[in-house]
Amino acid sequence: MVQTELHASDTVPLADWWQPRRLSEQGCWHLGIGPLSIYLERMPGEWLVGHQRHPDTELLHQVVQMPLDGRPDTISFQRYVFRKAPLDFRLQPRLMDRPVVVKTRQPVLIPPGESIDFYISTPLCVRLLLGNDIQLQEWPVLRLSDTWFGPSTRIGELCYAAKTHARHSLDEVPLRPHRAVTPLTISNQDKTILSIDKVSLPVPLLSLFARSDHTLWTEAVTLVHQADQPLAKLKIERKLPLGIKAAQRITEPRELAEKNALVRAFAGIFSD
Amino acid sequence: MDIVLQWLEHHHVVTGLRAALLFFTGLLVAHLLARLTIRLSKNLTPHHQVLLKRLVYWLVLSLFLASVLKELGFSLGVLLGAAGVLTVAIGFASQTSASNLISGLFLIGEKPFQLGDVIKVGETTGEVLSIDLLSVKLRTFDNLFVRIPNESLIKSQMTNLTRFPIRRFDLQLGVAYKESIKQVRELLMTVADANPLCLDEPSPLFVFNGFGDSSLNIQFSVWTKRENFRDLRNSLQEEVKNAFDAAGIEIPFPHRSLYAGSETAPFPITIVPAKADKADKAGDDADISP
Repeated sequence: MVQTELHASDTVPLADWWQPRRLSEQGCWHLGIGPLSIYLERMPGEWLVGHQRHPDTELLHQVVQMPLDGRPDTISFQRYVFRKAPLDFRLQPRLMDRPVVVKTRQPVLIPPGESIDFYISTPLCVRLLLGNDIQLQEWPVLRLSDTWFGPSTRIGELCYAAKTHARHSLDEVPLRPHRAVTPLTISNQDKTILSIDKVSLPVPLLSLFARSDHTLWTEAVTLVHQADQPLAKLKIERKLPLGIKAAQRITEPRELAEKNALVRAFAGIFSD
Repeated sequence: MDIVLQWLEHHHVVTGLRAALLFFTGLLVAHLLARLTIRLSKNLTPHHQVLLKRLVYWLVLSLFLASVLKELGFSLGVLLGAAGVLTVAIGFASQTSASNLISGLFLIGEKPFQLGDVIKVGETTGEVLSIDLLSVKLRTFDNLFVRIPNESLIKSQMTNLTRFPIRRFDLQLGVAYKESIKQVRELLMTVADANPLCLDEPSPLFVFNGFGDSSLNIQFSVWTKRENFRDLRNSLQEEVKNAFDAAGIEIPFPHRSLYAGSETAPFPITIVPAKADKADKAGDDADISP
């Protein structure tokens, strides 16, 4: 298969940056995906790879693809040596390796038997693959803060804390190149009101899909809160979100979810 | 030929051969049974597996040894009696070892730590390399091998640093009396929020410990993943110092105010005239030098 040659392009808000590319030209290239900048240089026997993470500002929410005059001095490059350096490379988007905890804008109370829809966007990791899928490196686009999610300091799991909020309507979700959107439904099957101020989204169990508008999506997820259960039932919906076909799956989940998996999704239940 | 046969038929040689055969069979059976034990006890921890294997091995071997001794014509009753007397003598002589052995059994039952855990005993902190019947072996972080007798582990306080996945770091600091506590609290919270190693939840804890001699004493506690504890300690303290410097918040040195009391007269103060400048001093030095 003939790959598209990497070419300088205008800075655009969204693009299919995960497509395989060919880098035959000499010189250093800058690929920017949101706040993450990746620097690539191919020589006959080696690839030089560097990266830099900027603060997450609105100005950087775009895709950059341009050649540089020289290698930036401030960045340390890693040198990968080959007998004959592969021409093709691919940046693969992946979801984070731990669940991501997202706060709701204000505490939400769900009466018994009701359910609520949220849209949650979580930052991605980018993996660099060369030639026949030789994995070189993986960088999270944002350095998320660690957090503990559980009823006590002994019981629970380590997660990432997202700075963004869970949103009720799709229009409120900003579509960004370095984030994936998950439609989430929380259903309360308990006899009492369920109060939620944050939700842990088990992203390692989800796949990534690329929609034709250059945005990344995961499967829709339903979390069911049952009576007297500290853990929520996780359902990964077979029906994909609007405008997405199964063929557009670009990344498999990091971990396979068991059938009827239980996840620690809501804090504050049985907390001590 | 007859002589050889006669010699072979001699009672002692045949018995000896039989005993030797019994002994080697015992070795083989003990070995096989020990291996079988390992295979059957897959759901136990590796450490318990090894202990069980050793137990089975020695038990089987001792049974065979007893049979060997019987075969050789020793009376087991007499032997066991002698062994009882000997055990008392050995027990007195090896009191420490016996105590360590019993402590080791308790440690294995209690399981306060596992292989690979980092524990602190007295002044020693290190990774557990092995838990044996007599002692626990540690590797300290400056790569020294430390052997701690089980008895002292049972007797003294031991801290397991890696039992739980998260740890709290308590930063004790003092700020000058002129500073606003509210501003200090907000600044510390901002620093913790910006540090990715610091856990979002459980949220950082700000405790105003009281009015110290020279400063307002504050405890700022942040949680972190246990593997990141040292990194957090370094980065957080540095960031707090930088943030305080940037905001002009003073971390005071200990002060001492001298007060003579209202009854006493003020301290007499004498104004000393400024010393002659350096050039003169140099000249003086030149005068007295040979």
